[in-house]
Amino acid sequence: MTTALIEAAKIEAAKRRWTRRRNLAIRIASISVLLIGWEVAGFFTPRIFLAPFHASIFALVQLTLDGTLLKAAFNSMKVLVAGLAFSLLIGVVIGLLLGRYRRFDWAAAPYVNGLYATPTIALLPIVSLWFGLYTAPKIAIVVLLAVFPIIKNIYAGVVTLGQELMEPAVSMGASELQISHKVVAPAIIPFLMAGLRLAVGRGIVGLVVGEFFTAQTGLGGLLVRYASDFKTAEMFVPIATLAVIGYGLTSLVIFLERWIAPWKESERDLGV
Amino acid sequence: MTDNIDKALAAERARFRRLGWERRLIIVVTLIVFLLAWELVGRLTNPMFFAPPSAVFDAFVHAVADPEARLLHALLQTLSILVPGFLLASFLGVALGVLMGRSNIAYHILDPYVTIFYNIPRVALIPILLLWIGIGDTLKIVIVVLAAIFPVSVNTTVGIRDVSAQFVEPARSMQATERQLLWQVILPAAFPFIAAGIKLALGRALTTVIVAEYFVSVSGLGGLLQQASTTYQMALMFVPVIILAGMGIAVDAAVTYAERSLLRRYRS
Repeated sequence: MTTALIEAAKIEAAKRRWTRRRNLAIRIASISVLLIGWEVAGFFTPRIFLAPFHASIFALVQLTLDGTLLKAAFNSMKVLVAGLAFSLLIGVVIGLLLGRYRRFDWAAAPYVNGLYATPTIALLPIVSLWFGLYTAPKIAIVVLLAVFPIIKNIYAGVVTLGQELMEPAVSMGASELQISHKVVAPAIIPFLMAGLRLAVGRGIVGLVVGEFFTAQTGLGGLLVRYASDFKTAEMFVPIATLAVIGYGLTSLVIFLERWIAPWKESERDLGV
Repeated sequence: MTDNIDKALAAERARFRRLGWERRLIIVVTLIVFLLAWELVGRLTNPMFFAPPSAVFDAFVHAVADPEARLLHALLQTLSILVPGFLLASFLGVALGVLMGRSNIAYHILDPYVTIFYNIPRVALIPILLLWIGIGDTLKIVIVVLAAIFPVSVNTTVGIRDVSAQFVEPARSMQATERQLLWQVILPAAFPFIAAGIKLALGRALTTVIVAEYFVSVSGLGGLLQQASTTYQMALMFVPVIILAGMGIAVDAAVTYAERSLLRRYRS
């Protein structure tokens, strides 16, 4: 009896292992097709349209060794991190106020919702008139794009936690400080993280557009420069770096969420 | 007894009505204060940097009454990119999502690409697509499709995998065909996920079309914005911004409404 069960479990485990290996093989094959296709297409197309894959790898090595990539990435990260930090600060404060005070919600909600639905990227020319061309307008445009998902998620968090958790705490004589520290904060962390995840994606769009249209610095500036010189091999280096930054920051947020709030089964994210 | 209940109900209703009025009052007062403050700040700053709402209003009326109808033209130009791009992205996104949600092999073949594209900021692809496709409307539509397709496909995949687990076995046991299964069980059940994806996609499409018009060739509302900003016509600059805000809000409301009414239909 028990040996039969153990046998069945072993077969099941072997099956699962086989499926996992098969899936990994499919993924590797799928990506290989892209890279080989890229290499072949690059071989037959003029360089000004597409460079073969190996040329982009050489460009990556070269730009890493001569420090260009690192400098640009550092510049971009500076703007992105500052923008996200401001967004977090502003977003949490406004979100908490909106969620906690009904009158404030009534007064401010139309503007917050309206701006969230507006493509705030259209404010870039105005922002660059006010803040100049260097770091400040880029940070401002990142904030304009990234702050709204944070506000909305914090607001949703405070409203959902609402009476269900609040009333018992109040009836047991918790002070305002205890409520905010022990009830509100833990309950809204998953919402904060969901907002932050959206904010990262939108913030990077703001960063790139900012670097395109104000002073051309960072990875976006590098991209524009290579594009106007038809350096197609080099062009993929900043694009790939931006993708890695986006993926890295999103993974960091997911990791932080599991680490800070492991009790909350993170909802499958509905897109970023 | 019933009297008491009626009284309590009436009191509650009165309270709600009072709160409703208070809400309206607060909204109106805030709007007035906001506009007055903007007007004041606008008049006190150099007109090269800011414009008061009265000037924006003038510019708006001028732009609408313009005999050459440049504003209308720009709006139609933007819509001619946005509408086909967005419809194409929604259709392809749902198709891709269904494929990846229903077939494990397709999922593992396509998932690496979706992950890669999802993490590349789509605006960063504008320079390279410019080389491949050239300046023109095709490029702008391609960019909009690239921006909007992945939120739809990822949400559809998640939704279909989520509902498949619950509903597919019962439907199969009732002899549903593969087509019935898809159209009558899986897609309706996954609809909330798909709608969430479409909503995200709309925002991205709108942002991307502006960037494309600004960057690729000066046309549409993004082009209008660019012209106004390079000539320092601050009041005129707010006109496309206001129209874009209106578009964003209207479209968002429309999707929310469609979502609700469809959900109600499937529930009943």
